[in-house]
Amino acid sequence: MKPEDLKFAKTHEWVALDGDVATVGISAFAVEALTDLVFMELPAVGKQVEPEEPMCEVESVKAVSDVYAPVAGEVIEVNESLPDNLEVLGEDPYEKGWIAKIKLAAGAGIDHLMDHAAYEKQCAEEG
Amino acid sequence: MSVRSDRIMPMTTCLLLDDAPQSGAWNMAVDEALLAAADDRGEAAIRFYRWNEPTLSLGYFQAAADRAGHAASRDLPLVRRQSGGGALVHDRELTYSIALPATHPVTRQPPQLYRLTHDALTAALGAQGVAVRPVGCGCSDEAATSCGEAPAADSPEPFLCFARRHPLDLIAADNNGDVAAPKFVGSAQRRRRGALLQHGSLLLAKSAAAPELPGVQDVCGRDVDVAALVDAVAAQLLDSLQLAVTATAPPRETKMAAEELAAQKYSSSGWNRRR
Repeated sequence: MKPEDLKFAKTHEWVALDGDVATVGISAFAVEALTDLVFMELPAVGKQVEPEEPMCEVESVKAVSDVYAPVAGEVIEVNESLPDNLEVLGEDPYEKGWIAKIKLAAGAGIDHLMDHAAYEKQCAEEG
Repeated sequence: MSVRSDRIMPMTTCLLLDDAPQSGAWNMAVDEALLAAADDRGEAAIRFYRWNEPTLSLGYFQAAADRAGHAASRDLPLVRRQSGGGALVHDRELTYSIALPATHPVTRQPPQLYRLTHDALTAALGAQGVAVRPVGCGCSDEAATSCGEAPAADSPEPFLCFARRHPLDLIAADNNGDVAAPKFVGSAQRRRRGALLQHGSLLLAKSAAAPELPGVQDVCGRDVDVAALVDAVAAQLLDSLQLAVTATAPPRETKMAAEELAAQKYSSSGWNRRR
C-alpha cells in the first residue's frame, strides 16, 4: 500500500480501510523515531479497542512504548510473524509490517484520522 | 506512540522524593503512579529510592522462566517493571526514577534523558573520586544520544541488565577503553502518551545474588556517599531539565494510585509472571 492511500492517527498509526475492516500499523516516521525495535507484543484476537487507547506494545532502546488503536472495534486478526521479524517494520511498514485487522464497531467514526498530506505536515512540525 | 523534536525548555514544576527502603511492588507502583501523574496531570517528578530486601526486577518483555538460568538470584522476590531492558538485582544499589509530562521538551527526544541523567551521575560520582564514562558506540556525541545499537539478532542479550552494554550506560573509566569494564549505571524507560518515565540503578557494591557484577566499592575501593550523591544529582537534573521543586512528598492522588497498583498489579503473579 502507498502511504498516500492511507489514513493516519496523530499518535502515528496508519489505517487502511476495506469495508468495515481496518488494517493498522505504525508509520515509517514512528518506526524511524523508535530506532531499533527489539520486542513487540501483539494485541489478542477478540480484544475490543478504542481510539487513543493502548492496543499493544513495542520495546526499543530499553524503552517500552504503547501502540494506540486508531479506530474503535474488535481485533479479528494479527500479523503473527511480525514479532519475530521486526525488521519488516522498517523495510515495509505499510504492507508486510501491518499489525492487526480491526472490525470497526458500529458507528465507529474515522473522521478524526488524517490524510497523508495532513500527517506529513504533523511529522514536519514534530521534527 | 509519541515522537517529536527538541524545542526551547520552559520551567516545569516537580516533585522531589528521597524514599526509604520499600518492597519491589511498592517501588514499581510508585514509579507507575508518577508516570500516570505526569500523563494525567502534567506533574514532573525526580525520585531516589531503595529496596527493603534484595529483589529481582524483570524487564517488561522478559520471561519469568528465564530467571532459572541465573542461580544466584533464583530465590529473590520478583517484580516486573514497566520499562524495557534486562533484569536487575536490587540489593546494594541506589535506584532513581524521573517522570516527565508530554509538555516537557525532553520527551520529544526520549533518549536525551538517558544522557542528561547519566551526565548528572557522572559528575556526582566524579566529585567523589569515582571516574565513570559512557560505553559509547563510535557515533558522534550528537548521534550517540539517539543511538540504539540493538544487539545482533543472533546474539541474545544476557539476562541481567548489568551484564549488557548500551552506548549510554556508565562503566568504570579506568579500564583503558575496555567496554567490558564493570558497568555501574544502567537505565530504562516507559513511554505513555508522550509522557516519559525513566528509572535506573547505580551499583554501589557487589550483591551475593549477582556476584559476577562488581560495584563501585569493589572496583574503586571506596563507598559512595549516597546522601551527597543524591543531592548533587538532584541539583544537576533540576537545572538541566529546568524543573522547579514544589513538593517533597507525593500528593494524595499519587499515593492512592500507588497503593492500588502495589496491591492489584505489582503484587500479583498475573503481572509478575505474565510471560
